[in-house]
Amino acid sequence: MLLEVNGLTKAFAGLVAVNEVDFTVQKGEILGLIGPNGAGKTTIFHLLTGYYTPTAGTVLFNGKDMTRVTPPAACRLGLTRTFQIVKPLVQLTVLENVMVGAFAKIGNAKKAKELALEILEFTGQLACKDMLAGNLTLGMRKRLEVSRALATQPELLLLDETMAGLNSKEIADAVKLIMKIRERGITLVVIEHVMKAIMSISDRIVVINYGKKIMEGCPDAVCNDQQVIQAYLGADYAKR
Amino acid sequence: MTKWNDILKNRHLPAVLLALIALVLPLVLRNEYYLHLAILILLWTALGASWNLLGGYTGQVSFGHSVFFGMGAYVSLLLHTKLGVSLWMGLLYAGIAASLIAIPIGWICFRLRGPYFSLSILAFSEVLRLIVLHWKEVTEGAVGILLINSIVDSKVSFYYLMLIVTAIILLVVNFVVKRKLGFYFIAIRDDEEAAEALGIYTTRYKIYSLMISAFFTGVMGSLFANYTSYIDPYIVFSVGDVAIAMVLVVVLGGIGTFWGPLVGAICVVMVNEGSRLMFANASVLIYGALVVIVILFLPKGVVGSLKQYTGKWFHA
Amino acid sequence: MDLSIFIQTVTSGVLLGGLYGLIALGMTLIFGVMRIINLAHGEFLMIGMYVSYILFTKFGVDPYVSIVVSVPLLFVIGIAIQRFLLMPLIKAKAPGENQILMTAGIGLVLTNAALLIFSPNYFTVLTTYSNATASIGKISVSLPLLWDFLICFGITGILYLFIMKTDTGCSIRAVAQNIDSARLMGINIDRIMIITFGVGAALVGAAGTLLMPIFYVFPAIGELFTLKAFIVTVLGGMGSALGALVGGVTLGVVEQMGATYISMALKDALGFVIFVLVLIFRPSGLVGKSRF
Ligand SMILES: Nc1ncnc2c1ncn2[C@@H]1O[C@H](COP(=O)(O)OP(=O)(O)OP(=O)(O)O)[C@@H](O)[C@H]1O
Ligand SMILES: [Mg+2]
Repeated sequence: MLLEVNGLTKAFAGLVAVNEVDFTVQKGEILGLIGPNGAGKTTIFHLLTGYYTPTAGTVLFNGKDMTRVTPPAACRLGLTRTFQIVKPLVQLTVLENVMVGAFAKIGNAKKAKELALEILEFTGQLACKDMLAGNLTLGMRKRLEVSRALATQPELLLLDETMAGLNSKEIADAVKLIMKIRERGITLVVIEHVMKAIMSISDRIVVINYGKKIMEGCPDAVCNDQQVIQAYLGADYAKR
Repeated sequence: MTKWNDILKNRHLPAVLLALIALVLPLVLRNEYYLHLAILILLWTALGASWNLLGGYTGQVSFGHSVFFGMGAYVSLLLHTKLGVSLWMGLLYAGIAASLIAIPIGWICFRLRGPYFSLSILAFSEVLRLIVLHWKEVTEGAVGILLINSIVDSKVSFYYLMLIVTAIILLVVNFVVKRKLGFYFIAIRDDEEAAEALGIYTTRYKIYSLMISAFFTGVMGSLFANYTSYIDPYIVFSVGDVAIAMVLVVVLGGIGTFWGPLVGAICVVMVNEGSRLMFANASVLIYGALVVIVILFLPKGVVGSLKQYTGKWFHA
Repeated sequence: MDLSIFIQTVTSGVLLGGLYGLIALGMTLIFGVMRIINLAHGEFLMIGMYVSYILFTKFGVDPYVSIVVSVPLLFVIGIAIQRFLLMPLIKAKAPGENQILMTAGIGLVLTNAALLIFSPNYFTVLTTYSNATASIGKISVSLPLLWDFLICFGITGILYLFIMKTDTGCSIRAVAQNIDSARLMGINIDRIMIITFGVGAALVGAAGTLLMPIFYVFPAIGELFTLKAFIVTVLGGMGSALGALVGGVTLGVVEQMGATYISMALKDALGFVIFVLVLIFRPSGLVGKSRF
């Protein structure tokens, strides 16, 4: 078991954003994490990577307790994430952004550059390597988040809505990229609102609503679950 | 002809030309006063470059670098006058001492962000000034320390010493910025949260940046003490004349740019001297007014504004 | 330890602290809305002091009455600075340090203008009540200081009402909380910032006038009080009126204790010691939450 989450809870003043959530992630799988806006998905990522400390519950990554670990330490242990609201290092080029990621495991600038170039080729961003990250389109920024995270050579990668706001061609590319990442031997947890995409890539799906896990299962089962349809996909979808 | 074209296009060309000019300058400037101005420009370039590493590249704007400047000045002169340590070693010890106090200062001040960081470090400068002022047995307090024999004896040798140290600082900053350390500094400046996700221990790297910046600032404090041959707590820990002036040099020149400190230093020294010559009594007033005007009309500094026209060439 | 000396020390510390609180109030307010530290803050205080001084020596106006001149004057100065010197920087999207530097430049100009006009000498105003004291048992309190303290509370109360009850105050709070949503709500951000800077300057101008009967004025006085205001602001947790008062009183008491029990010379250093301790153990200040 790569990741074990037990009773994970985060309370903010007047609101329990994540409420006793349990799930596990197996090595090599893709776990989908879905739920309506404000369900608490991003907060779960913040908790897993040390941006927030949980109010209660445990997170075990490779058997190691992660609840007191800081974000950079989590990254160095092989667990990192992308940001839903992209955070490009605006005054660096695309290549330099990815090199920053590469430096997590490599000290030498030349070697870091080699890895960064390899990753940019892998994610299909080689053509714009010399552009300033601040000048990229949203689609490219979202992809840069992924490239940069990949460069840290993670074992488990958490992707937070990397397809939001993309057109259908870009979404198709993103789906392909995620499958390729898995082939690299990296395990993924993916938050996504684009239903078709998440259903097609996930091995299993966890559904969150109001901070609670309401369902877990394979994509087909989730699609047909009455509770999920009610809570998340909405009445319209249920009728069809 | 292509060979000449290559040379002209080489991006190190401006640096090489400048270095050549700097080397022959004392042969041309036979006048002591002009040499004095050149030394001041070097002093402020070096201070600006040291500050720029932290403020420009790491994004941690310090309004209290006088703490390191004063530390360096006092450590080297006290070691020399009380313990007979050579002034040359004093330069090194000044840097080390400044770098060492940067550790606790950074540890405490980096809990704050933005303007609160900027000023909390200034509070430390005041603390150190008060300590030096009142710990008379060791520091001579407000009386200050007078240096009988400076590190070198002529203005020309001082110019070359200053030139060497300034060049070293510029080269080191340039070296650091292009390596892992520099990437990490810039990443912290651009987005701290993203930096953390990429495995950067942000506080630790901010402290590294502060330590390097403090080291050079301390060395320059020591050189300054040698140049003026006299220091007291009000001079070397001065908020206005040291700490804020350092920020000013870089902001005027262009924050986070390689040439910014040099350009800023030239502007500040010229404006300062010009208003002193022309307005006597009201000189600081005019100087302040010019600061206000320049900040108002050059929000990105001289280099920052020029860069839009000259592209990479000026960036080096 | 002599109890009456102790009580005496605490009392004068608290009273002085009220003034510190008022000085810091303007800085806190400006920071809350604009996210900049005004390095000309102490110089505004200096202007307030010189205004009292001139009105007293030239026209025989009681220092407490001169507040009706210093407050509007500094309000106007504050408005002009924000409108013509700081707003262009905000519009040009210049980084925050440029704004701080701008305020430093303004401070430099004001200090040196004062130097030209008034010479570097120290001036005081000597009124009939300057040395008056009220005593309860063994404790005696300087009367002007006591009045100052009460007036400070009054002004803080008025500010509180202004912020809480008026439409403008409401907009100021909205901008302080979240500038983007305030803009979406249709609040005129520029106007709010101009008013805020004016009010912040007016507050410290009032403080300067109140300080005049118990202190002396000289051109370089600003730097000292800018730092004190900053310390108080941090002690108070940044951004709350209550925090400014608590921070002010804390600093006042600490300084007086230091002066009485340690040494007069080190009393200023003690303020910094408290400041550093708070940074280490309670970075969010003595009151309330941090806002950054
Ligand atoms: N720092 C915080 N303080 C207070 N409340 C917060 C904080 N962070 C998140 N929340 C609240 O927690 C809830 C869950 O937020 P979260 O961002 O995790 O949702 P999400 O599932 O990622 O939604 P979306 O699909 O819109 O991204 C929301 O109601 C949000 O307002
Ligand atoms: Mg989210």
